[in-house]
Parts: sequence; C-alpha cells; structure tokens
Amino acid sequence: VPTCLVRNGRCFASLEEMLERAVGLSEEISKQALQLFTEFDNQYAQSKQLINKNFKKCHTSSLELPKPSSTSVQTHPITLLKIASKLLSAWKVPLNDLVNNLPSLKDIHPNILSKAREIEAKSAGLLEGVKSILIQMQNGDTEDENYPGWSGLASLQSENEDDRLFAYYNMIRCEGRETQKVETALKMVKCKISNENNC
Amino acid sequence: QSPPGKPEIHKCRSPDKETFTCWWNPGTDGGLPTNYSLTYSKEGEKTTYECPDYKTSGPNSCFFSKQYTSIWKIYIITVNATNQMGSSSSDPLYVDVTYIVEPEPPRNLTLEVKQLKDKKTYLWVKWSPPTITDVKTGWFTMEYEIRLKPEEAEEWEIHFTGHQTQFKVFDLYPGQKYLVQTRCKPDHGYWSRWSQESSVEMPNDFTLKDTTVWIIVAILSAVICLIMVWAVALKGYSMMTCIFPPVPGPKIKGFDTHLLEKGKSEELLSALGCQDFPPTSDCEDLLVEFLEVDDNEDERLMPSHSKEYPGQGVKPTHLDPDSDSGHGSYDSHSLLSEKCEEPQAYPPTLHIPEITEKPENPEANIPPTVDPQSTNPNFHVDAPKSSTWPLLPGQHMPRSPYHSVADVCKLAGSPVNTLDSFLDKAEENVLKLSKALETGEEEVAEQKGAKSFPSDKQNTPWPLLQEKSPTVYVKPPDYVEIHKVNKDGVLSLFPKQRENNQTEKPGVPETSKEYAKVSGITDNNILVLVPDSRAQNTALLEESAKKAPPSFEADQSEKDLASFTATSSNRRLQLGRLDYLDPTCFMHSFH
Repeated sequence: VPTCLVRNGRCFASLEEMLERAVGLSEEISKQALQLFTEFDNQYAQSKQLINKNFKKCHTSSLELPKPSSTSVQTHPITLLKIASKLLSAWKVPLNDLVNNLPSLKDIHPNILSKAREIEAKSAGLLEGVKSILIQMQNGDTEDENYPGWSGLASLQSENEDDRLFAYYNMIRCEGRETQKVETALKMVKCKISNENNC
Repeated sequence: QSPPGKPEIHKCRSPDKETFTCWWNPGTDGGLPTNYSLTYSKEGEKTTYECPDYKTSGPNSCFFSKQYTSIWKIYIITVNATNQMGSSSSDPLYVDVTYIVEPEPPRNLTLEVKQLKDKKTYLWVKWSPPTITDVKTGWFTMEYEIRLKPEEAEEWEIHFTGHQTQFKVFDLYPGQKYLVQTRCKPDHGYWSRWSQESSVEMPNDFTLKDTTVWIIVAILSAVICLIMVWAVALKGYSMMTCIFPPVPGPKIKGFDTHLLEKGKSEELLSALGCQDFPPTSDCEDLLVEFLEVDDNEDERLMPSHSKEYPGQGVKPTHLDPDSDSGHGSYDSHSLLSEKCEEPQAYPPTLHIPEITEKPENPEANIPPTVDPQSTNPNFHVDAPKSSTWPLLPGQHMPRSPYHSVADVCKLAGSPVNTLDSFLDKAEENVLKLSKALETGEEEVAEQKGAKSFPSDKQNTPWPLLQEKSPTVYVKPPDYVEIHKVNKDGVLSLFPKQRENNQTEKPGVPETSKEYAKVSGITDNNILVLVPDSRAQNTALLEESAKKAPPSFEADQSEKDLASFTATSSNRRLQLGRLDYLDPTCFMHSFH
C-alpha cells in the first residue's frame, strides 16, 4: 500500500491516519496554550486587578460547537471540520501579532516567548492538515472562507502599560480556550469516522 | 452581634463537561441568622445572575444545569453573606468549565486470573468508563490508571494504562491476596476518585513447586561446588609442595652456621681445620677402591701402603684375595705336579740306567762265561736279574706286545710244563742244531720243533703240576736257567736269524753284514750270539751317534762292543728264547 495518495499534485495520506495526526497535534497545542497562560498569569500577578475589569469577548466566540446531546440536528463530520478550519484561520494573524509584539513588554520571560512561537508554528501546521482532510472529504470543494476578523492589534500596541498588559492577558486566555474547541471538534470527527471503535 | 464573616468559595467541578457545581465555606455568622447567596456573570456580559439551584448539590452549594452552563465562556462567581447587622462578599472566582472537569471513577472493575501457554499466570484487570460521561462521541477522551497491592502491604503499585480499559499484571506472588482499584482523567481536567476495591487470591501454582525444587537443586549444587573448590584449593597447595619440593640451600660439610651467627671465627677455623682430615680419608677410600679394582696396581702398591700405613692391617686382609689369585697359580703348580708325574712315565729315562747297569752285569757275567758249565755262576747271574724282574714286567708291558703275550701264556697255567719241555728241548735242540749244521737241513729242524711242543703238553699235564708245585716258587731262577736254555733257544732263534737276515739283506748295509759274520765265526760254540750281536751293534751305533763319535774312540768302542757283545749275547739269548716262546704260544692258541 502506498504511503500517500497523490491528488492535484499533492500527497495525501489515508484519512484515518491524517485524523489521528491532527488530533495528536491539537492536543499538544492545547496543553502548551494552558502552560503559556499559567506562566503569564504568574509573572504578571498584577493582572488580577486587570480581571476586575470587564472581560471582553474573544473574537471567535461566535464559533461554538454544538452540544453532543442536542437532538435538533445530527452533527456531520464536515460541519465540525469547517468550524475547526475557521477557528484556526481566525487565529493565524493574531498569533503572528502576539509573537511580534510580546518582546515590547518589560521583563518578559524567555519561556513565554518560545512557547508563543511554538504555538504559532504548530497552529499553522494543523490548519494545513485540516484543509487536506476537508479536500479529501469534499473532493476538492473548498468554499466558505468566511471567518471572524481580528481588530486587537491596536490594543497590543497601546501606549498605556496597563491597557497593553490587559490586552495580552485577554488574548492569551482566549487562545487557550479556542484551541480546546479545535481539539474537541477533531476528536468528535475521528470517533464518527472510525465507527466509535477508538473512543 | 456583628455582621457575618467573609465566605470563601471552596471549589467548582464539572463531572460531564455539560453541568457544574460550586461549593463555598461560610464565614462567621456574627451571632445572628445569616443568609448566603451566589451570584455570577459571564464574560462579555454586564448582567448578573443568581444561582439557579441551591438544593441539588447539598448545603452551601450551587448547581448549574445544562441550561445554565456555557462550556466555552468564563464564569465570574461571587458568594454573599447577609444578616441583620450587615453583609459581606467573597473574592470573585473565574471559572472556565473546560478546565474544571472531574469525572466519576470507572465502574465494573473485574479481576481474572489467567495462564499463558507456558503455564505462566497473570492477573487480567478490566473496567468500564463512568456512566455520566459521553465518551463515545469524542466529547471526552479519558486516560486511566490502576493500582494494586497485597492485602497486608502498605504501599500501592500504580500502573498507567493510557486510553485502554483493560490491563495485564504479571509476576504476582502465588498464594497472595491482592487488592485492585482504578481511576480516570479527562484530557484537560482532574483525576477522578479511586474506584471501589476488588480483591483476588493468586493460586499456588505447580510451577512454584518446580521452582522450589530447582532452587533446592541449585543451592545443593552450589554448596557441592564450593566444597570441591575448597578441597581443590587445599590439595592444589599440597600438590604444589609435592610438584615443586623445597630447594635445599647450599651447605658446607662440617660447617656450622650457628658458629657464623655467634661470630666465633676461631671455632669456625678449627672446624675447617678438622674438616681437612675427613677429605683425606675420603681420598684414601677412593684410592683404595681404585686399588681394589686394579689387581696389578694393588700388588704393586701393597709394599708402599704397608710402609706408609703400617696400622692399616685391613689392606693385607684385602690382599688375601690376591693370595687367592695365587691359589690360581697353585693350580698351575698342580699342573706342574702333573708334569712331574709325566717324566716318571718316561721309559727311555728309566731304560738308560738299566742300560748302564747292563754293562756292569756283563763284567760280572764274563767269569760266568769263562765257567759256563758250572751251576753256581748261574745263581749269581740270577740274583741281579731277580732285582730287575719287578721292574721288567712293568717295563716290558708298554715296550712290546711279545712280552704281554708271554704273560698271557703264564696266566694260561702252563709255565712248569714249558720249563721242563724247555730243558729237554734245549738238549735235543743242541744235538739237532749240531746235526743240522752238519747236514744243513733247516726245514727239518723247524718241523721237529713244532711237533715236539704239542706232544710234550699232552703227555704230562697233571703229574707235573702236582709234583712241581713247590718248585714253581724256585722256577723264576729256573727260568733264568731257561735263559741258559735260551742259549739252546738261540738254536731255536736261527729261524728268527733267518727272518732277520732276510729283512737285513735289503735294508742293512754290507758293513753290518761283515760284523755279524765275524761274531758268528769267533763264537762257533756260541753261534747263538750272531743275532744279539747285531742288535747290540745297532744300539751302540745310535749311542755313538749321540756321543759325537771320533775315529779313534770309535775303534775303542768297537773293541768294547766286542767284549760287551759276548755278555749281551748271553742276555739277549734269554730274550731271544722269550721271543721264541711267544710264537709257540700263538701256535697253541691257534690250535
């Protein structure tokens, strides 16, 4: 059996194998995002005062996964994959801005910087994987590129130190939670496709 | 009475990622009845809500059902305490439901003891996920752990099993009772509590007995090996001493190391001096051995040793075997004794003095020749002859067979008869000889002689023996008379003379013939002397040859020989008679 299938000049592994890889990668990103938030929160304890302010919604809050117990509509794997793809695409630019502007913070710890860069790289890879899976399942139909826009760069570059710290705090928190959405979506797709054997 | 104390939110947990509950610890009540209320707001919203359910989760708790739970939003929760005196609020708690999930423990924990093909036993543990959680849809992904221990043990042994819901445990002790528990954790939440205990007793396997047997065998073999190694080690040590015996250090004979140690040089020197003597003795021993080996050298060195070491009497004793070798020489002496015996057996040496005696006898015999008819001179002549008789038979035996034949005749027992017959015959013979000489009939004489002998014996055998028995002792001189008869016998010797003449003619030169004739002519009465003279001539010739005869001496000797021939003729006549008798004996024997 050949290692991969070639379509439109690209090499595609089997569907089950690709899903297995995607789930694994998303789990890693999710864990690292939690670690990033914990370290940032520990270093900038003053952020507790920041939390007293009003929490802003994440820019991808509107992309919610349906509850598994919902009986209204049977969730289709393609629906879940599309939600994951939109989430990853929506966070591509913000992660890049985060990596580029974190050094502006005073006394930023090197671990925080390296962790942020790693999350950005892996997220980009995961996005490519999810798109490949969608191409296989939809036979090349890649429509519906709409995803929420990002307008937080101005806050990251604010002259006010407190405003800037709050902006970074909120962004890192949102990244962690949204990454869990992607992970859960991919796991649900894997269970459906593999006839719930590995679940 | 005072306002209530500040309450504290204990924890918030979600068992299924769809609902969650929060618990709080009340503060002091201030001595007055106090009411507690929980209020919350969501991120991005300004509206504040109160707890939807204070009863489901028990006292001091608030339960958020699915309706009021948003998984992907942060809850800001606060607890308020109020009494108549006043009110107080807790610190706010920010809750993200995805991070507060704590599931129920797994269920249906089952233990089963199984055996592999190689009869190795193991414990098979299996369980089911918690019921509330919806795992099949992928909404949850669980990880599991199990722990077990022997019933009496203190510490647990934990094994992480990953996503699988079964596990195999090996290497458990047979006969032991084990307790087992399990728990689970979602991908980003907290570990559940441990499940209820299950227990199982491992059976006593036959393999255990086998292992005990093998252990016993191993221990025994180990002990045996150790014993053998130990024994070999000891024996090896002894073997080394045997194989490589200690090398003796150099020692000087008679040298005391103690003296060196004590530092007594004088005693050492004295000891060394004393040692000078033993080596000399050793040298002597060596020399002695050398001398003993070589007999000649021993003989030569005997006098030197005796001179140098007079006290060594042992060496003379050693020389005794040399004397034994001398005994060997004595053996040679015995050979010499044999040689001495040999000359005794030499007849010519014995004959020589007899020959010397004979010329003396003829001197005495000359007077008897002068008076031949008288009987007295016959006795005198017999006396010296009797002296020669004991020697004569021994001498005659080896000399000639004729004498032996004569003895045989004597032994026949007819000597007396022969004597008488000889006397008679002598007279008759003389007469016959004279007649024969006159007539010249030699053949007749021979024939008469032959006839006369048998007739005489046949006529007078018995009476002669009885009558002449005393005369027999005297007859040896009579035998001498017989010699006279021998003179008559000379007449009988004529046939021998004839034979001699025949033999002499071819072998004898003319000179001898002339000599023989002369003797016969001179002694017409002693015609018998003719052959005796011839025999004497031959003997004298030999003697003359031995004596280196000169011409003059030869002439004198010839004269002496002429005189001697007369005496010798008498004696030899006797001898001739004996010779004459011998053939007669032969004739009798033939008859």
